[in-house]
Amino acid sequence: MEPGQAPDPAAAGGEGSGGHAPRVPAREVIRDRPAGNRVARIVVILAALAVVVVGAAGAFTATRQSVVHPAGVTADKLLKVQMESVQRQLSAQVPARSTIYFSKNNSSLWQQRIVEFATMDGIIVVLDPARAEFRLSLVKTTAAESAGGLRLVVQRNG
Amino acid sequence: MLALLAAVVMILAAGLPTGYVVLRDLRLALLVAPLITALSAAVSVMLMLIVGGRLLWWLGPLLLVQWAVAPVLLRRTAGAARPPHRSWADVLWLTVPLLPPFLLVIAPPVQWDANSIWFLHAAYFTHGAPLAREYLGLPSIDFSHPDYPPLASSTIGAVWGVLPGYKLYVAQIVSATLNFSAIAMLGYAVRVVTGRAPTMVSRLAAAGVALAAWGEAPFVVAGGLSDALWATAFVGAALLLLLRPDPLRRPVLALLLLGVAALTKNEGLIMAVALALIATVRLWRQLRRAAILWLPVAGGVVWSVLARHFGAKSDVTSDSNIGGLLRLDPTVYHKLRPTLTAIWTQVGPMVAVSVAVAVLGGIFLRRQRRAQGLGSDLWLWLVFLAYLFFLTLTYVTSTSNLAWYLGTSAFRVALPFALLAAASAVCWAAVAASGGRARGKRPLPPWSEPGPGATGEGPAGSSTPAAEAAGPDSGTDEWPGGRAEPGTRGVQEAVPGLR
Repeated sequence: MEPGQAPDPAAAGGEGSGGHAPRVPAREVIRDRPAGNRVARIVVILAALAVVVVGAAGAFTATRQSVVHPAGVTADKLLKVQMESVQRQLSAQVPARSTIYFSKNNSSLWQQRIVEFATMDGIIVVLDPARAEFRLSLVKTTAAESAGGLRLVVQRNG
Repeated sequence: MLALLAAVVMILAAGLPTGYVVLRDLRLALLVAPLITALSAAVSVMLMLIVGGRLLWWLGPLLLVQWAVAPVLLRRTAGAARPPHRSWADVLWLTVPLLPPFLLVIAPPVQWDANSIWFLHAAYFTHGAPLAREYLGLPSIDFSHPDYPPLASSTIGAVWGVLPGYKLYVAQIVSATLNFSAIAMLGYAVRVVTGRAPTMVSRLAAAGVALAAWGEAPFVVAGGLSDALWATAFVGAALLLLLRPDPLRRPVLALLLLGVAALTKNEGLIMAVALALIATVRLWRQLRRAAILWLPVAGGVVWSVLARHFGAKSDVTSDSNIGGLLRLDPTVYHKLRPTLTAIWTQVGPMVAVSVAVAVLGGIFLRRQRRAQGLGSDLWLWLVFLAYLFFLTLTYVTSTSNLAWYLGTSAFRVALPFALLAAASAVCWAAVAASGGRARGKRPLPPWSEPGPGATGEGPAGSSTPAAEAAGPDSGTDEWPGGRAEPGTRGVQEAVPGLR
């Protein structure tokens, strides 16, 4: 039935009404169907519960991961060691407020990490190697030589 | 470990007095305090860039002023109403469910975007105005979206200013604490708007929506990213502004959350504009009072102007092919399908069930919903559509490789869809679980419990007899074409036939 449409008097009045039941607005009919309303409520609650459970899946995953790998997965732990090592090497070898150029041969991950660590020391990263005071690149080495197996090579420009 | 604890204590303590002024309860004030600290830090960064100096030179006095003014404000508003749902049980329901997934904060701080965007920005904010201005326009950091608003980074930068050494773990826990605070406030917003449902249902609803903040990207909340920060703050603001009977009666928390959204990410700013617009339309009878909704937007716009002034490039505007869209370029329109497919993959089934719930609720429970003082669900879906439009437009007009762009971001930026869908569903569930009954004889607005010695509220406060008689459906709780029925009606009268 469309909203606002007058209901069938017989349907509204039910059996035994003799067709003399008063006409009631459609909204009242909705209200007066307790069984349908109850079913609708149950369906709404169950469906909303499903939405919440699906929505919380990420929270469950995060919980599981924090329990299974409290210190992070192996790859992340290695990356953290490498990042801390590169950060230390940069601070030790390049003076604050200088300008550097970082080799494009290194991955974009390290291009961005070098910019991040340089910014911490107030070092300016330039895209034109001719404008840089220092040229930097990362090379693989042994973990014994440098934690995480990455060594920062720093060359004074010119 | 000590540094991490110190960082958390700092951002809690700094915002606590103002948090107490806003929420009049120490427990709730502790939950909202990090967001107030963050807003203060964001304002300080903007002042630093405009006037000069260093971040802490601005933030320190700003916090001192807040600490000094808080007792005065508390005295002057001593009789004002206190917010509802501030019991220990409520606060525990808002926080304890969030703790297990939050433990991921101890994972290594190596998330790509956290480092490339938020920690990097924080680093240049610590160096003072001249260097920060230079970094904003530096071509070598274009990859890091230097135009992104400063809220999260400025807070990290402020803590780094006090705890030197640029420890990434410190940055991660500061970011995660902000996220935790925003998620808890989202839960609180759900608790407020469903406050007339049975207590346990309302608390479960709050916890359920809050847990959805982890979405499809479990590492986002505690990994140093800000997607959950803006999304939860935004949806919390939307709930308070669009579902409460008179959102302008106690607007501070909603404005604060809207400000957090506008000052955290570009999409947050755009959606803050959309929400302010939608809320203004909802409150069109109180246009002058509704003007305050635009204050958080103004904060975001000031940042946007500043960032561009100092040369910060935005990928959204500089890499956008709006011209192609207007020329009906097929390469633009061919991106529509993969974009919508990617969004559907993230949240489609969840949203579909929520829509079904909303339709069922709209057919069977609409009047019960009104009787509970809950605003129309359509407002939330209008916000949903606005975000869908904006997000789709961003993807289809981007000149970046679409597969890469969607693959690296869709799972994060779809979060507001999930939160809005979950919020809509739990509100209907709260109505359904109430069986049409609201606690109390008369459906008062959820934020109108008078405190001891309450003296009443402002001009539109429902503590006036007329407004109280009109109930929560009066005036503001309308949808164009579906006006709420005026007049004095208690719940039993409004929904005859229901106990």
